[in-house]
Amino acid sequence: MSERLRITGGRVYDPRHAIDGAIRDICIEDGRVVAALPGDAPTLDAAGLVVMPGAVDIHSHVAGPKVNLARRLEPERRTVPTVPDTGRLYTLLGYTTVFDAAVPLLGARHAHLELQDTPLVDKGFYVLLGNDEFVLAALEDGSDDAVRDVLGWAVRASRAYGVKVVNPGGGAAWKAARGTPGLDDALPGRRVTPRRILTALARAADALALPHPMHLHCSNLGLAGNATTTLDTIAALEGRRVHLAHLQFHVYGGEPGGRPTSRARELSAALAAHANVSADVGQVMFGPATTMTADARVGEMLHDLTGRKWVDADLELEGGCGVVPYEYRERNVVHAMQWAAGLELLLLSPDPWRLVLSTDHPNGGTFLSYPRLLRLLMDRAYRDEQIARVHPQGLEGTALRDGLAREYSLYEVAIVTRAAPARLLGLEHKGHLGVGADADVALYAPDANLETMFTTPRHVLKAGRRVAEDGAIREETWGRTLQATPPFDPAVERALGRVLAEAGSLSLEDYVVGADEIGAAR
Amino acid sequence: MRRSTVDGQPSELDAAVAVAAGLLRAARQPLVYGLLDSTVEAQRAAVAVARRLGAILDTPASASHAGSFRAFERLGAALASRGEYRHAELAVFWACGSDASELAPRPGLARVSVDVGSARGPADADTRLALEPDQEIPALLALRAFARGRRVDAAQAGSLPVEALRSLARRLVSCGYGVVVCDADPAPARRDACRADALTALVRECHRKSRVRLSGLRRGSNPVGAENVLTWLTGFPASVRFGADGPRYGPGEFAAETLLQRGDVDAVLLVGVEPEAHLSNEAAAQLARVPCVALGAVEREGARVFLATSAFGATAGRVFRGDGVALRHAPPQSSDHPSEATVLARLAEALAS
Amino acid sequence: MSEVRLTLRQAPSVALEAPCVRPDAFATLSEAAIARLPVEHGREVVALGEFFDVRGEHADQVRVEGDVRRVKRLGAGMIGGSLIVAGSAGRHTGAGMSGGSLVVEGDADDWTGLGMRGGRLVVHGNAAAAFCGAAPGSSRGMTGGLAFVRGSVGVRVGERLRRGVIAVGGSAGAYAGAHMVAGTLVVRGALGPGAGIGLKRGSIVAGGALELLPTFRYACRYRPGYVDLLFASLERHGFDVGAMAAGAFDRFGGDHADLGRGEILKWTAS
Ligand SMILES: [Zn+2]
Repeated sequence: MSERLRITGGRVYDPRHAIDGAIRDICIEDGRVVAALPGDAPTLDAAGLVVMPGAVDIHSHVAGPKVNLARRLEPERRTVPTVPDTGRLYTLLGYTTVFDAAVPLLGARHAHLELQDTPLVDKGFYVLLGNDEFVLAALEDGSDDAVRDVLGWAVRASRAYGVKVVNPGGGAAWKAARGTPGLDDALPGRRVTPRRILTALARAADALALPHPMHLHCSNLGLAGNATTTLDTIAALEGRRVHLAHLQFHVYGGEPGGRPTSRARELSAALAAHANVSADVGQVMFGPATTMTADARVGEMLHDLTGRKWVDADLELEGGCGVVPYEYRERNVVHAMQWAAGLELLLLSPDPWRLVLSTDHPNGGTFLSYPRLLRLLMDRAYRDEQIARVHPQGLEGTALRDGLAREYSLYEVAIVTRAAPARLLGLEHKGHLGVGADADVALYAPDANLETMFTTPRHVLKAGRRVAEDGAIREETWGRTLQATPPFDPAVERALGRVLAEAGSLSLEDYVVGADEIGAAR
Repeated sequence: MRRSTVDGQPSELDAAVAVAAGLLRAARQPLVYGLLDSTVEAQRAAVAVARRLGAILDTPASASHAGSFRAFERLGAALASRGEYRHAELAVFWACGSDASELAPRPGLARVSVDVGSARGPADADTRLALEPDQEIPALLALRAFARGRRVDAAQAGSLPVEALRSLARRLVSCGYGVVVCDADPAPARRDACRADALTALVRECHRKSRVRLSGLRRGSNPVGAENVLTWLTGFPASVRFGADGPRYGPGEFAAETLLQRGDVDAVLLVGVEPEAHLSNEAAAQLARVPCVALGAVEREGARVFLATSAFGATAGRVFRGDGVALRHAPPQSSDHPSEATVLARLAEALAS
Repeated sequence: MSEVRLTLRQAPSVALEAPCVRPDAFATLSEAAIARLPVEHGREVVALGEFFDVRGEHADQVRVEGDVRRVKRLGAGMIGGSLIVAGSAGRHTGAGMSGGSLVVEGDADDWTGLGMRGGRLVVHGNAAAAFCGAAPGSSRGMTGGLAFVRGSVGVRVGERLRRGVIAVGGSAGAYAGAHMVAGTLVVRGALGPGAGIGLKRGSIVAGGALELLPTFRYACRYRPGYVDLLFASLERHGFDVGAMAAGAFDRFGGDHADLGRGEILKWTAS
């Protein structure tokens, strides 16, 4: 007996099919959108409601060792929700697909354990490479094929969806000697440069036809003057596909060591000029945050800044991570600049299909602040009120100060939260409501307060099931773990085994996550 | 084959599970305790049972690891996975040995043992420093003061070996890579509310100047799995009460030891633990008075219901290494008994029906 | 009606969680509404009235009678009014209170006044562990108000104290004033080992015996003017400072293992 549902009379926003608020019925059968249903199929009355595909978070931190360390670190604040709450709270916002942006190879098993326990949403992660001995050793041998095979093996072994590169080479240099190499500086004791790591991995991701290009956290995150690094990085990639993570944290001007300013305008122009580049914004939202990053230098910097608790952890043969609780304040000049820079990027965006929403949860704020961020984008009067509250010096030189008038439409919101992240991820069946799409659907009641509207969808459907209604979970289902399955030459395992035999505490099998280790735990 | 029992009489598993469910459901405040010698699969199943019951969930770490939990929550930590220790030039064994072969004697590694009373480090250490138990915390503080570049007044130092401590602090802040190894599950007589805090703070102080990591030795088969599983499922690593408003954390408050001593639980489900090894005599005596359901490979005297399971050593699943790396546990032998995870899943079903 | 009186009618068989017992909340409630307030008896949510006889309504003066040592979180989070526990109280009494007056006429259990933010907390008997201490993970313990214990306190009194005054008539257990950030802790009697460990700022006034940590450094012997101001204020609130009313103090700065801007003032008769 197939499960059917007809969503009738809603205003549909499906940018992939250029549907901009037309009244349409959406027909669902067995978890997929279909062209038509028999007349007696059950219906869900959506008259007066806004109908969108389920939202897709392209960059979040929801599972794995560092996320769990963060949970343990803050019993008093609980900025980082538990795994069951992560699935529920995302769903209650209309998000039905979530990716963790940074899981080390040796953390993959742990990440999958948490994903197994994450209800409702479809989920996956990007495996970290670029500061590990495996890739560095392959690069020392000078062969791009070897790097491609390491990447292929790593994605398969960890059952990842994509590859994440954090501060390429810089992580290894920091760990070895607190070094911060420039693009063309050889890493300590090696012939490899960050430029080489960057280009080799971008090329490898393309060669393997991974559904999502290299997901890159550029070097010098958070530092004054890092816009130059970001522009150099874009140039270094010479037209190859790349997704820049949390771009806002990488658009700063100012003197090195000094107070950062916003160069978002220049980065917007660079984005316009490079069709090969996409990004998520990494918006800062005022309030509690927890910084967690594979960029251990950033953890140390934030600890020095706050004097607060700090987890700093190294992982053998790979990088490490830092976790520091944080708070963004309106009256802090740097925080105000960061907030403004993110909004500048979004409001100046040359192409909503290539600059999508994120707060880099929980780094710039938690995903629970997405509705407020949408209101900032859609409601200029509200935005102006907020602008008046923040430290005025933080706005100096920003386009925000010049009175950006743009307001996002519902159609554009559907792009930056659904259609575009799905396209950037190569998720054919997500981010739209065409025939064959996964029946992940969010229905919102229009409200003059757009934050209210996006905080509590009237209905959320996941794979055709009505899982949430008016802020409550109706049914707890289990989503899928999304993985990529690139090929690799098994001969690479010999080289990897040599690296482990020389310096690891484990064998190659220990890195391989079994098919029985994913999927719902219950 | 060992059978499950109800009131000491052999019973089919399903019948025993039904009795267990009834017994636990009748309790006003059940306690689920253990998870030390359990796979991740059993640990998450135990959380599900506790949640369904509205129980308090606790592990032996609430007593043995209490100081470490508190230190982590106040300060964080400087950690590394075991394989990183091969970089170490200095290892300080703080009144304990090590479980990492990377810290065994080798050229280029200086090994220092700090012995506290009868708690001694490796016999083959290069350097030794002996402290009386009441000198331990003062010594840790003096080390940290030295690492910060402060001096310590002779008048206040008393009998502390000040020069040896000053020299050790100097080595810690100037080494290329150091590891301080400590006992993270000390025996009752060695428990101290502030030792882990003082060690963590010392290591962080040194780590900002050189690179120093803290390595805590754990006891039991999967204690790190327990705290990880509890954390991702409830937000907290031990001592969790599933109350009307969700999981609540009560280190000390929801710890088996005090709950039993105070008579604040009226049924207990034991999973993956030999409780007498972790409880005081008073608490163990109280445990014997409370209706008890025990899972395990060895029948428990006095349990109302005993549910026979495979031993940890014969159970496939996943476990966490002491340094937090999740691994597959592939046992050499297998068992005809169902795993704890399987039995707990049945129990959860029985509780739901 | 000027008072709400709760009399324990039936002893709870396991701990009873009763954070609903708050004078500021009772001020707006009828007798029946108070009796209907939810409490957790183990895994069951039941009405307060199942355990307590409730007499009185619409009053922010509350008196609790009977053996309530198993009743937890009385007065937790209270922001005003007066709560008197006629005997000994359970754990977490007055935790997070930010105003009003709370008096425990008997002994107070662990975590009484945990993370207290304001108001006045008085214990006539002894207080157990972590009196006016810090919640797990929190960088701050008590952040305001006045807390007095006539008897002795257990371990870790005033941990991470940020602001406010804690005064103890008897002795204190180990690690008194651990990781204090500011504020004042006065202990008339002896202090256990590790007093002032990790002290960043703030003052510990020690009237009795004390084993100093090595990371404190002697500065001078004097009688600081602010001590007399502090004592005068304590006396006004009914706290007897005893022999410390005269004599001098040895000042030790520390904890130099940490920030080291705090002080321990050790009383001496001469
Ligand atoms: Zn991120």
